[in-house]
Amino acid sequence: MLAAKNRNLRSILAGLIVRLAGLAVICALIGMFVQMVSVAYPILAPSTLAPLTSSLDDFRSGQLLEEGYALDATRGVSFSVAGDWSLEGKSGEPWFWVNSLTGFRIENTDLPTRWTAASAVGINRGVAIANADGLISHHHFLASTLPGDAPSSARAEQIDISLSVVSMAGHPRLAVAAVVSSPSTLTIVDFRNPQAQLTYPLADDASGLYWESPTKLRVFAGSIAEDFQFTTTDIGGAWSRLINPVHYEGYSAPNYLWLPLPASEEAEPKYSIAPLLFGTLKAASLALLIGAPVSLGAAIYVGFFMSQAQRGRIRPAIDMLTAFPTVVLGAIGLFWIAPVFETVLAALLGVVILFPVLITLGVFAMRGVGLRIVRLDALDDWPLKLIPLVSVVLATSAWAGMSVAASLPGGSLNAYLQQHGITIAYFNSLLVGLILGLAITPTIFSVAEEAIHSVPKNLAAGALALGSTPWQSYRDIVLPLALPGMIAAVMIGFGRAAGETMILLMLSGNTGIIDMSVFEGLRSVSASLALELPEAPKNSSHYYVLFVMGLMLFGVTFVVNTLAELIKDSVRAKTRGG
Amino acid sequence: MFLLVRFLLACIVATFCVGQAIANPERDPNNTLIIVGSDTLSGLMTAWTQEFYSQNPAISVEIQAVGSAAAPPALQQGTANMGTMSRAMNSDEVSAFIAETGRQPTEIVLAEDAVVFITHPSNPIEHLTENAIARIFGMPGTCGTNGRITSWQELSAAHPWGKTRIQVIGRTATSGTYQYFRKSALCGGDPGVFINEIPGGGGVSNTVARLPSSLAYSASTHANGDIKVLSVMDGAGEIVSPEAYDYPFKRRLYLYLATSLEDARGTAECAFLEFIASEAGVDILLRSGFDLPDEDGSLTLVGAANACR
Repeated sequence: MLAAKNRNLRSILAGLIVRLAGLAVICALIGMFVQMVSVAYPILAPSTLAPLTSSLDDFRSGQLLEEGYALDATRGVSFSVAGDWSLEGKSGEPWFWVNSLTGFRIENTDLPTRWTAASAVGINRGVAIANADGLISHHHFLASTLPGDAPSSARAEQIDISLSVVSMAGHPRLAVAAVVSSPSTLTIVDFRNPQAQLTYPLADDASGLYWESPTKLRVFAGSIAEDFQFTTTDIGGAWSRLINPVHYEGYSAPNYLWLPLPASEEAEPKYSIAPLLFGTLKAASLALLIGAPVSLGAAIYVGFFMSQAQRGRIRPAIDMLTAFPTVVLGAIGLFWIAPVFETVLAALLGVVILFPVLITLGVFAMRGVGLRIVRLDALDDWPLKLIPLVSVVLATSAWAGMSVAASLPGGSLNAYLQQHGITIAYFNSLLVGLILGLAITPTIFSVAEEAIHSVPKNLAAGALALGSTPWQSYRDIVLPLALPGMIAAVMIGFGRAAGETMILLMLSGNTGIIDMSVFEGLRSVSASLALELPEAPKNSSHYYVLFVMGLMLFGVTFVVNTLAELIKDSVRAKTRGG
Repeated sequence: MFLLVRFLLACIVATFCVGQAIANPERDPNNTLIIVGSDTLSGLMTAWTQEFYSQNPAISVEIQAVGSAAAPPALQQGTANMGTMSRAMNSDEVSAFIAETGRQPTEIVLAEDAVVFITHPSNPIEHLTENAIARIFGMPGTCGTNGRITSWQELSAAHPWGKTRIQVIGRTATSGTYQYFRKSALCGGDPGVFINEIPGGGGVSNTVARLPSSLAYSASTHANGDIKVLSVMDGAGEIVSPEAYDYPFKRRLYLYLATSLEDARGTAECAFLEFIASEAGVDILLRSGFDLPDEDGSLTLVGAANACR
């Protein structure tokens, strides 16, 4: 009686623990997601402008004008640019680039000549010019590429606030300008996000304003100074700057750049995540291209053609490889493959081209002399018998590849490619693809093999009994049933490759370029997170953007893996029903 | 089953205890020094700490060398007593510090080193011009230069490696060396996105030592016997080696305190400062490859140690 009671209690307890564990995992997943969203969210928050209570009275705005905070259109303005050059202008007259050393004056015809206020935006980086109708344009400076030549300017954005501009102050760091206009309005125009204007009605007509710090704006109206708190992120709420090409300051055309520069004051931080997404996709695609054919081939062989006993020995061995630490694979790539990459590439090309031809010839040649080591009509071939032939053919084709490379004009594959204008980056995408492909092979193999093996044996046996060859029975009976599972396997492999960090960190070179060439490096989302997240200042725009990318990575792997699981489940239902 | 439950319970209790131990270490704040910051200075700090510990075994010192950008937030949040930086705090970091603590951080000029250009010993190149540096490491047009240099031939027509690509290597954006390099060598412009970013100065040196066609910038203290340090030809056409006093890429390294020196009197911070300003401390500094900064009115080690007394 007591024993039964005890047993009951135990099973209740066990059930409780198991349920708790399951619940904990689900809660942890949801919690992680919510946490990441809440951390990343502020990057999408719009800029805000709020008056500060600690306004200073009795500040004479006349004094301010004397100090040159407010710029006077009729007296003329001057902004220093890179080198010895400055930009000088007076309303109604053309703008001039002036060299302080040589005294050269070169007209800049790109800037509007009729204006009421002009102000530098960022330090030596650009200028905002406003006219009486409220049309404000932002021009940034481009350094000349010829020594001694004048810089030029490029118009990045034009914003119409339709108010009569009185004075304007450019933000010391960002492409933002604060404008006071008549009648008594304060407007913040954001050239990074032209749609997002912040306006604030002032009590009195303002005469001037300046930025006391990047977050604090001081406006003078009559004898009163009023302070405003300006909060913004480095993208000003324009999330399209993360994905679309952006016309960054100092560049002549819009492009994608990942240059976060967290502690810099002079340059605009650049947060295009496109190069990183491209890098992740490129690495994962190359890894699939290299890993999928090998692992699917192995899965078909082990799952269908091998006997049960042999499969029982091979499969756990390959499954164990799934747990192989990727940092070791990265180190193998870094220390063994990368230094001899050129030779590896030549050998690899030789294998890819010659191996299928040579192995076929080899098998038929051996059959010709009566050595029937491969019985094409049997299901349970033992691959050990094939090892001598395969290794000979592998070595021959690799050797052939290397000797062809050595006999190329120039003496090596590298020199030959160089003659055709292709140079290989030491840390290149193909190297990453090769090692990453190796890393995902056991994963794809495991899932695909399971899908193939779970097709009921009696179906294939029936086909064999009716006279089809093993290959025919595989192709026509097993493959259609196993195909969704194999697709799921490839998808899981893709998800694994997209989330992989260590191999990419060690081998990709972390170069944030968008280049289709497999001989160039790449920078993946995961490697960027590993490199930058530990050091990104907390609650900085850089930090938020990194979390946005983390969220994207989480999302991609989650969706891909869930889809793969769904596909696998549908197969299971189908095969069971069949 | 019962065993399993007991095991699980034991695990939970153990985890809790370990967590408690990590979260609330029994520390005497006066006898613990946590130094967070620059990777460049990590070797020097370690050497100092070892010697300091042998003299003051009662004070324990912890060093976390993640990068200069880590120092200001750590000081601000009180998770570190001292911060080391291979650049000065910028105005944003200073104002964030003041906003959080209501105090000004104490800045001490610790030492001087240089950003050097390093390559494989087998590379025949001896020096780089400032123009070439901008064209190799910068985005196109950096410092008003025209066009990138991508091969050794373009750098020097007589170079035996011809069209072989220059494998450009650099530090990550959070490193102080990267920040300093941007400001001084690239006229504040953008470093090329094509630069291979390797975490840590030691990592850069090791990669260069393995890779013949590489060219990298690094802190002079990370240079070792396996790599070749290049001279720089300055604007006047003079070739200057990093040891020379007029080398263009010399920089100062800083130590930051969360408190003022007056408040630090009698604490572990001051004991450490007095040690590193002593003869033994300066000796370690020089042996680690750093120089003493020139006097120019800013607070140096000696000044800080005097203020402590």
